[in-house]
Amino acid sequence: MAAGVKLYAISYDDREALAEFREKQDIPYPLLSDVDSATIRRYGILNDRIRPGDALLHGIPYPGVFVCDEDGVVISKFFHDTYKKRDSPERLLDAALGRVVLDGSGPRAEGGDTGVRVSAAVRGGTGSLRQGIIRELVVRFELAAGLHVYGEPVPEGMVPVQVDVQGPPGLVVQAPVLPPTTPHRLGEMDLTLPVWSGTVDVRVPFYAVGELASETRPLDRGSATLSVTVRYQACDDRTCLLPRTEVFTLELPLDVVDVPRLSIHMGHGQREAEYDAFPHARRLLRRKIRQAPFGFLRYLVKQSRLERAARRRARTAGA
Amino acid sequence: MARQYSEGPDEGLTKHLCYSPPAMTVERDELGFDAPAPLGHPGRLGLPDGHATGPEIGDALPDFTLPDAAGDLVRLHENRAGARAVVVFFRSAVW
Repeated sequence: MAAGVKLYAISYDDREALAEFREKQDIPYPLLSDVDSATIRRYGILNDRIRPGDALLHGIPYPGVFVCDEDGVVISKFFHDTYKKRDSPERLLDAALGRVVLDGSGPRAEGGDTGVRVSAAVRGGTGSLRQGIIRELVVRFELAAGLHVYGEPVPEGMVPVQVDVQGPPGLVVQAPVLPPTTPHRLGEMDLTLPVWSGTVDVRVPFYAVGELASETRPLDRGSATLSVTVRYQACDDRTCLLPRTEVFTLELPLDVVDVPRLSIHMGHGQREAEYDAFPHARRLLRRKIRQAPFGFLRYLVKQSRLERAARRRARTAGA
Repeated sequence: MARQYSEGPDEGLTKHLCYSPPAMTVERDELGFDAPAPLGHPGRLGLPDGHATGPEIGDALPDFTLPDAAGDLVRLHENRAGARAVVVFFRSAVW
């Protein structure tokens, strides 16, 4: 990873599987093999809703990320309610560095006023969208010396910074993440207000769900349009500029997902990856069945029950 | 590579395990995500509300020694050599 940050990825796969994955996906950082899930268990993140014998699944973690500082102390962590939500590498890098790095690789638009520059940019990954990958829209204010913009709360009649992001159905936009404000005292009015000055980044996390980008069907469009409305009023200690509303339009390409060539994925993927994961899956399944043969039989019964219920739901929905 | 969508189970798996995984039904969950498995399938079970997620912010990140893809042992805090680190726990590189 860039800027002197080290990256490690851990899974319960054997070394052979990791070696092929690393080579075929061109991964530069270490993939570490926790075959018996001992480290996953020691960290307390074993997925304990999966039972021994649940096919090849037992031993996986609740997926997530820890970021540690130079002293090995956790400074940030990312866990979600579903494995489908994953943080983009840029989000992890920003967390490790403690600042937002805009590298200019994503879609970007800008506007502004005297002494104020406002831009909206998608952080990283060429700004593309795919199911569940959480990216960030960064609205950056660059204010000339002496100018500030307002956080909340402000008295009636003053305009705090507001950012609203709209997208097509299936785009999930989370609440904006605002940096801390500084109290600013307006002497004449005997009033202290929360303000930002200098460079201010408002981050808005967002991701796509199945309606927009699904890994179980081919994409039906190439991109999605994001409409970003930014409202603000810039002031110095004596006067204010007029409140402004700027609307930025950003076009985000949709990403094709590579699905490893494997029978359980076939017919479901957006695109098949160029290597066969089957021999690795077979080793994994054998290893897991050996550990809990009776659990596996129980799993087969459970799976057929779940399948029947799914087909019933499909029939009800279709009727 | 062209898309190849096979209809039936993989013959190899049948041969080697006497078990052919049925083609699983695609269903959308309550959060809007699609996956090639029915709802309630163990592979789709997410983190329960309030479940602990290991070391918290401010804790020391526990050290570990694990082999990398080449078989070389990597000890986290020694290997990062004083740098900041991002440690990702993911589900699988196979499936």
